[in-house]
Amino acid sequence: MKRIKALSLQKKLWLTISLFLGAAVLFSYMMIVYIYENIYIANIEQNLLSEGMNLAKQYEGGPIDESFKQKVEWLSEISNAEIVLVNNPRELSACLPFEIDHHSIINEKEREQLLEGKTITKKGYEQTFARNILGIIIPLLDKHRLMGILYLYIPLASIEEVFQQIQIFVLSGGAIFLFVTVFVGRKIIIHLTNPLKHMEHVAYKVSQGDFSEKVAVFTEDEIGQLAKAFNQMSSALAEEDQRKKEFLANVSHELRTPLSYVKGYSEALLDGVVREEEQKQKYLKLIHREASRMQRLVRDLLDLAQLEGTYPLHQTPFSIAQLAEETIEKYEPFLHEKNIHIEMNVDHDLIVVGDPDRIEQVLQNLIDNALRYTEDGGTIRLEIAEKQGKCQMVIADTGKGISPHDLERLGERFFRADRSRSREHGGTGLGLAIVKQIIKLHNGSIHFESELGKGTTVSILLPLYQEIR
Amino acid sequence: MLLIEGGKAVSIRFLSIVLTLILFLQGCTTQTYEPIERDVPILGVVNLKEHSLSFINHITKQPLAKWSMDEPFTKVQLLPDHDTLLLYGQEMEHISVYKLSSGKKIADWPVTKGIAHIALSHDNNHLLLVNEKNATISIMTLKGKIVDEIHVPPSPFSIVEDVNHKRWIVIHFKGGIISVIDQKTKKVIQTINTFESAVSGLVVTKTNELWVGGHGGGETMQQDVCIYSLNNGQLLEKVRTETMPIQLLQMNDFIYVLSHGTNMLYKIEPVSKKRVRSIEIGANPFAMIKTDQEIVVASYDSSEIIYVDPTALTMKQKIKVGKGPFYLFFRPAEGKR
Ligand SMILES: Nc1ncnc2c1ncn2[C@@H]1O[C@H](COP(=O)(O)OP(=O)(O)OP(=O)(O)O)[C@@H](O)[C@H]1O
Ligand SMILES: [Mg+2]
Repeated sequence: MKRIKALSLQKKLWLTISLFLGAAVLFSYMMIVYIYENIYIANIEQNLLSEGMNLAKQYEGGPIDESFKQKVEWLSEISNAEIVLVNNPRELSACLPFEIDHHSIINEKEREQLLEGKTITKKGYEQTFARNILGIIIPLLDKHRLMGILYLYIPLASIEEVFQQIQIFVLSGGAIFLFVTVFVGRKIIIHLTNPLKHMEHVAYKVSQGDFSEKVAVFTEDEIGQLAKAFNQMSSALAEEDQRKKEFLANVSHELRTPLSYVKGYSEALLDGVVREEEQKQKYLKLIHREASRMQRLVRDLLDLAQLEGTYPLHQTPFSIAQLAEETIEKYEPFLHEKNIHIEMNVDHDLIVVGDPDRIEQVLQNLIDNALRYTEDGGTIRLEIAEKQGKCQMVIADTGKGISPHDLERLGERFFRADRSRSREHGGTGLGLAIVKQIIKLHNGSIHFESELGKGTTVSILLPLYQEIR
Repeated sequence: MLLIEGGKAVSIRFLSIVLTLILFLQGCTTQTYEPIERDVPILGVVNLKEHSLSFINHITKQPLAKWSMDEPFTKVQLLPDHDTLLLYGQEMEHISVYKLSSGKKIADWPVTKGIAHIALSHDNNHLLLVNEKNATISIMTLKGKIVDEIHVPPSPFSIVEDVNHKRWIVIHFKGGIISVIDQKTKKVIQTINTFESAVSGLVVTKTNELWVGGHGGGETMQQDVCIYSLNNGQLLEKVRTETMPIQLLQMNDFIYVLSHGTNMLYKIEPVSKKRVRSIEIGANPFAMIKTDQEIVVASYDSSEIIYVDPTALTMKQKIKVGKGPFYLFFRPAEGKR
């Protein structure tokens, strides 16, 4: 078993085909033997029997006379079969109890059968005729007396000649067929399995981190499909690999900047370069700001990692309007500070199924952004309404907007439209990535709309709670 | 059983065990066949194909008993006591001795393989054993003791006694000869050429002739009985009795010849050698004997025996016997000979 398992697919296929083919040739050979034995021979037997029976009918009992003998002779001449009339009692084993060592045409058992009126079929070597024959013995009975026998036979050589020709034909034909198919089959199998071998080679390269090679797709069959899927998988892996590299670069970059700030300012403070108290305070504040930025960055990264894994949501039906209002309340001081007007239009009847903490996180992130990227005196609009059996939540601002080019990349990790500027605002570029992940986990959807200088609109669709009616 | 007191139950059980034991032991040692009463005249038949003996009540012509043995015997010989039957065969290394009246085997007399014929001497004192393989004639007492052995030419098949000349005449199956033994010197004194595969001879005292029948050799089938002079062994005449005359007997003043090749029975007048009558009889008949009134023929292939009226040469009755009747013997009732 292990040996078979260890064989290559090529060899397995080849072996299977060869085996089946061999079996088929063997089967057809056996078929022919069967036909020969059971139909051809039986047919000849039947012919001999009917011929003999017809002749035996002409015998009317009593001693076998000349005219009957002549009839037999005449028929023997025109028939394919040799017909022998035997009426010598010795040859009919009539003297058997006396002559133990005499070889008669028929033996004692056969004589018994013939006496009962049965015919006898003989196949094989017959000493009397000194050759292999197929024969039928028919008794000529006068009541209990075995007056003679009709022995009809055909030399087996003539029958076997026919069979031998067929045999040679089948065997040689089968052998050629087998030979050709085995070799052609080998070619076909190699042709079929070559892409697999190539795939194996490419897969090995991919596993080593080399995504440059692709599998050539020649056909549209299963193997072609497999090659296509393989190529897709390979490029997906390549992309993923690219993203991972970018991510790492981003993380390190994001960490390096605040670290260098912290290091720089703290060195300045320690060296005693900064003398003025006011300046010292400013530096310490900067250090504090960068530290908390790093803290946030780490927290957000952790959040994202969790959300991208199998994060368990604590789903429960809740009033989305209430959640929104409570969240806005927390922002009241900031809104007031920035003199930003808030417009609320929420449907209090809507119940959403989800994790309220996570939805709050979404709201916070989006309001953060709206606040952050909107000038003083702007307006933020929050709308919650039912739309096509779902809950639509819209957060719109009158801020600076996002260019269409950047709009596409929203939600990518560490993506920020204006790196230097948003840094000042303390952004890490992970907020929307988290939002997107949470919405995805809720089986919802998110959509951004924006125009530079005019404002940004974010709309979210969340499933509504379906009451069991 | 519960009502009977313990002791009795035990004794009955013990008795039954002993009885079955005895029966078992007896079954192992000697098989008992249906006894043949001494006061019934019987016709015995050896059924070659099934190795059995059929007994026919000669008066009622009804089957009386059938003994099935497992010995390859081909022929039998009844001793002068009319009760002891010897079973023998070419392939047997003993003669099996049975008592008809008890239905039991009483002895095995060891012999060398190849006994083709056993005849009772004319004086009823000895048995003549023809051993075809050994080419010997052994003289045996009626107790089974071989007292003499005479070497003869190869393939002796049957023996007849020429009482007048005090000779035994041996018919040989192969070699085409007849040998003549002098009873005094126990030596072959003459060989006579005859046809191949001769099987039986008949001494006809009235004409001082030996009639010989048989199969004939090879392709040729014997078509006649050869008649030789008992004086000089000259072939005197051939009587046409087609085909394969194998049994001869004399009854009243006629010779009867049975030819198995054509299933014919001929009645011949011994002086004129004229065929008086003939009848087609049986299927491959091999054996023929005379009883007190009739001739009985055994039809080998149709497994029956046929009673024939010797005068009119007509079939009187057919009786079914075992498979392959090959040899016959007649035993008259006690007191009648
Ligand atoms: N309402 C908005 N108006 C204008 N630009 C926006 C708005 N929301 C997001 N952006 C742009 O998209 C970028 C990504 O936003 P995101 O919330 O993911 O990161 P962040 O706000 O920079 O940092 P974080 O939210 O992680 O503190 C922002 O840097 C900003 O350039
Ligand atoms: Mg943000």
